[in-house]
Amino acid sequence: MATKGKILIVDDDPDFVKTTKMILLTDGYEVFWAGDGKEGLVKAKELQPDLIMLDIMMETLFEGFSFLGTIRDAEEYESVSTTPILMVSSVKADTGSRFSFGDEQDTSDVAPDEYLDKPLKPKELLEKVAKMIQKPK
Amino acid sequence: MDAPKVLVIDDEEIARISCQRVLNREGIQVTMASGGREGLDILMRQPHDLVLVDLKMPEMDGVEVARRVRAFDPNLVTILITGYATVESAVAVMKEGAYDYLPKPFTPDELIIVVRRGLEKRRLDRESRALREEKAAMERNFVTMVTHQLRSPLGAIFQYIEVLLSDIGGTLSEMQREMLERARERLNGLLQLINDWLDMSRLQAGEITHRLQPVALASCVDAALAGLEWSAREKGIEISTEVPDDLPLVEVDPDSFREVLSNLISNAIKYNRPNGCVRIRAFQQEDWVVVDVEDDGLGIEEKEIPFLFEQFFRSKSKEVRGQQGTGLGLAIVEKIVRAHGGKMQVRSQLGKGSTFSVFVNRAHPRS
Repeated sequence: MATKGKILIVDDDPDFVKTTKMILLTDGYEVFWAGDGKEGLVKAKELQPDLIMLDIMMETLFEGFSFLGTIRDAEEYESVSTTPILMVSSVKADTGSRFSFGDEQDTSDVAPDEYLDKPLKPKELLEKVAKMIQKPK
Repeated sequence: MDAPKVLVIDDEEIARISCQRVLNREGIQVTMASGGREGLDILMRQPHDLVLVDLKMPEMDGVEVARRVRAFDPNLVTILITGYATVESAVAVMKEGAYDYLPKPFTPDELIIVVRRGLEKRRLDRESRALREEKAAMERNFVTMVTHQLRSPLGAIFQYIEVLLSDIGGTLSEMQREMLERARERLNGLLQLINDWLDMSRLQAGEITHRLQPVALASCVDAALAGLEWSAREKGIEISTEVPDDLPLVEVDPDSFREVLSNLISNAIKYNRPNGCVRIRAFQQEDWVVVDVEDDGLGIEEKEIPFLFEQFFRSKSKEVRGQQGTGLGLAIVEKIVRAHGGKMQVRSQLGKGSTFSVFVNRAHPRS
């Protein structure tokens, strides 16, 4: 059966992944999971997903941002450098590129394509995902 | 610890050298300069702990040197050597930010006492600054950690409930649905409480005043609306904005000001009637820039208006009681606005709707 698209979730919270996966599967997406940034990078290259859902705080406080920087800029990941990225976090953050975590970490030069607050609402998530995947790459 | 470093600025060579000799014996490292300009030049290139400067010098006098030293590094300790020890000259010198003065002629012991005291102040200043920085960093980290540790598990529970309510785990009976909806509502309240509490603790840390900058109001409004479209759509509320293009920039901390607007707009949505309107209007009034957030919702009883901005105050009205709320939202709004040097105003008519007005300063034109 043809799917609506391949989605890679990079997140360390298995409960969050489980429910998100259910939402996306029921709507016809193919879903993969990586438990940290490192694994995420490997899987992104291997799977060439249509969308990556990315958590900010995993093992380290800003792991999501290092993932983002690497995948966008490192030559090694050129094949996935333009994959749309939906950042999700339970830390209330700006929808734009600036995240207010205090002063020590200025993350303004890398920005995800879209952002959603955790917990996710199924309808809102599906709407956003559909819009992001539709966009011509 | 490294030997303390003192810079002696004096146009008389004998004075410089005698200071050096005395201080060297005390294990203090001394650099010398014959005038203000040379001295300031040395300070820029090498860090020092204390500056000893003669008041009367031909090229640049000691008061001027003290002023420039202070402008360069306010934490540097400056001690003036005054030839004519009058109270007036001492006061003038201290006004320019000098820590102490030493009247000429002085004995080696007098010099040592004054310099030692200055260095001690320098050490204490440094220590307290380091402690303050450490405390601020800890507070920031604490807030971030609490956010993560409290919200993550609650978010996971919330998402399970959301999935069940979407019938993704199988069709629910009416009773199961009702119970899950209640659970979701209570959880929502708890999440909101955590958010509000975190906002409060950030405010108490007094961060806002450091971050004031000239900002276009329209961008704040857009940012605030971005997070609220969903809840407005769910309730069928129409939001209109009216921000004139020629409105002056406002002097705000963008993140907290967005919080203010999003709080007020979200209230206007929440306490609105289904398919109601929310109007956001910005305009200039005297020296203020004013933002009105107007709804045609429940309205507030007049006797309750004075208490609106108190922490944990919630209206007694049944309609409001029926909505989730922590009683912190407006208290936060008012705190943030006040920290900006602004004020809040409320007009309301029961059953007709309310208007919350935010007054903020316009940005000063920068030269």
